[in-house]
Amino acid sequence: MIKYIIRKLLLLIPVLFGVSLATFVVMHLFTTDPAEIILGQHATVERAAALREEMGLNKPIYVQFGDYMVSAVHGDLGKSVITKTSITDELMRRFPATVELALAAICIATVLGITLGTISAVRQNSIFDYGTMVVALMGVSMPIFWLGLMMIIIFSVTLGWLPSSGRIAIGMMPDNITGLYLLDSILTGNMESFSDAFQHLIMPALALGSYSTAIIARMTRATMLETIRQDYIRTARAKGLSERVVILKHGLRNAMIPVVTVIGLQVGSLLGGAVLTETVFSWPGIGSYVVEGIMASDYPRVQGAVLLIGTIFVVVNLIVDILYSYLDPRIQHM
Amino acid sequence: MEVKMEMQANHNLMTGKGPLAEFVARFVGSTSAMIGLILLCILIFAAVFAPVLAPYNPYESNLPEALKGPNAMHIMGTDELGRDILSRTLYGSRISLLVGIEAVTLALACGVILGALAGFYGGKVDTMIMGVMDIMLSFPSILLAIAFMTVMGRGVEKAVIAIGIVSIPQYARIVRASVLSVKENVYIMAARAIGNNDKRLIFVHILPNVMAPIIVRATIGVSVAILEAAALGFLGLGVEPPTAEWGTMLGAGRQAIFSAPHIVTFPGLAITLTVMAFNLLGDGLRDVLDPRLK
Repeated sequence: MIKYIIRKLLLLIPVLFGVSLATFVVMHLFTTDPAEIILGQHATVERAAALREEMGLNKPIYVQFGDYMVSAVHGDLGKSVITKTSITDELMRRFPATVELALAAICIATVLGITLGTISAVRQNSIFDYGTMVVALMGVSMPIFWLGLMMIIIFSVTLGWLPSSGRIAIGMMPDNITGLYLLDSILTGNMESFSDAFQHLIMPALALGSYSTAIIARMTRATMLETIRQDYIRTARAKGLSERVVILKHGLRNAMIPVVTVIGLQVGSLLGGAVLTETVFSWPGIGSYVVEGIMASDYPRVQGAVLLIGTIFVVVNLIVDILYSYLDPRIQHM
Repeated sequence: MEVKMEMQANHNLMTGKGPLAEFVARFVGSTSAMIGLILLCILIFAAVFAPVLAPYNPYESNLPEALKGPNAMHIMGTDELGRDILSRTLYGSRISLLVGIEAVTLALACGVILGALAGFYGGKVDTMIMGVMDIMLSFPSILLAIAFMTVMGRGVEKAVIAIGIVSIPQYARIVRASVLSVKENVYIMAARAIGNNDKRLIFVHILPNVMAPIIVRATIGVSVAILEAAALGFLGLGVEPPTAEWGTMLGAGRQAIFSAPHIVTFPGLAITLTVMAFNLLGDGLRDVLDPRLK
């Protein structure tokens, strides 16, 4: 097991290097000259040349990449060309917001997806089964940003139940411990903040988790249908176990391996989806930071955020691989 | 349903029908494939006959009529510039279908060749190709498409290229895996023994035998491409205004949802229906072509 993990960790190095190189090369093909963005189109040629020199943009691209990698390894992703603030600091400040949103979305997707999928399989061909599968089909077909907009129209504009944007109301922020507002409010016993943060979180998390819920429900249904037809399930029933124990202990447990993989893979799609969900709900996370960077032609900002998301994605996939091999030891030998 | 299809297939076998007749019989027997196909036919009809079906010019502004809700004159209401949303939605189907199908064609062409080369030759070729594919898969595809669009600028062709490029690894992986399993078969060895060269082995003997999973993936891939194109449009990175495109319509109408919710309702419904059509068709084709994938 340890050998397998070490091998996987070593493989991470070339992939992360490739991710950094790809991000750097793509972003340096950027058509707008950063010096022009900072100084405006009417700056003198000398002034622009001096700024390019100062920013190191006159150096050969491989030297620039080398410098960037050395800084990145030391945790410095450069400065925003617009705000002049440290990109690492800004990403660290926004990171908990994206983590909180993604965690809430994956929790909703896992609980809802597994529950709906299991009930559907147990009651195959019932109205519940058909209903769930239609909803799941809608879930994989609906653009999450549109679902978000529809939720705002129904729950914020029409019913006035939930706030349409932001992460928490002004003045309600709990003391910063982890940066995750729900957790921080519980840790500090601030229930008012908890309630406010929860109300802000519920719509973005549901919208972001909708696609994953549908995928997990479909996968759980398919694997459960296969599992509950196995001989050992018949044996469990024959020895007089209750239906609940048969389904949950003997069925669901054995159906979980492919479902866990799908849940892991969903983390990646959640990171991509966060870019859209955060934009719809003005959620102050990394996703909206990328979009704001694009709108402002602030390429170091986009580069830093894309690199961070790529790295998280690779690391999460590694964790899923390891978890998978733990659940199914045959994987290590493949 | 599966049993019904199986019985039909056995019946065909006994009555001596060919593979095409068997495919058609299985396809017609699949509810999801048929619903998907009917939906898709309606969408293609709407796209082709948009100029005839659209009651107004989709690009004509009419400011006094701006942000009007659905009414007798404008069934889906009007947008922030007073343009008819039904007409724009009908015209938008052209762009979405075009981008979806073209992007998948591009991804397929590159993915099939790269995957086949990696699977067939193995060794360094495989390591190099799949290494690049793995790096591309290290990014959420929509993020990579955003990065490409940021670099290339807006436009339909650019959206096709961006979405096509980010989809290549999925096809390359499927083709590589299929080629790896097929190339060890006896009939491939026999084809090699009678003197077929590598190109002929790959394109004539191997690829036709790995088409089933590729067709299924490509059909579902169109729905993903349409969703990604809509996402790019929503973020302001899609087609140039005033082109009618569903994602761009949603992005532009976002600011007005508090006063005119209809402005985002209909383009979103159109995206959902289109994506659903391809998903249903893909699910149905999977049942028909490759039941093992179910």
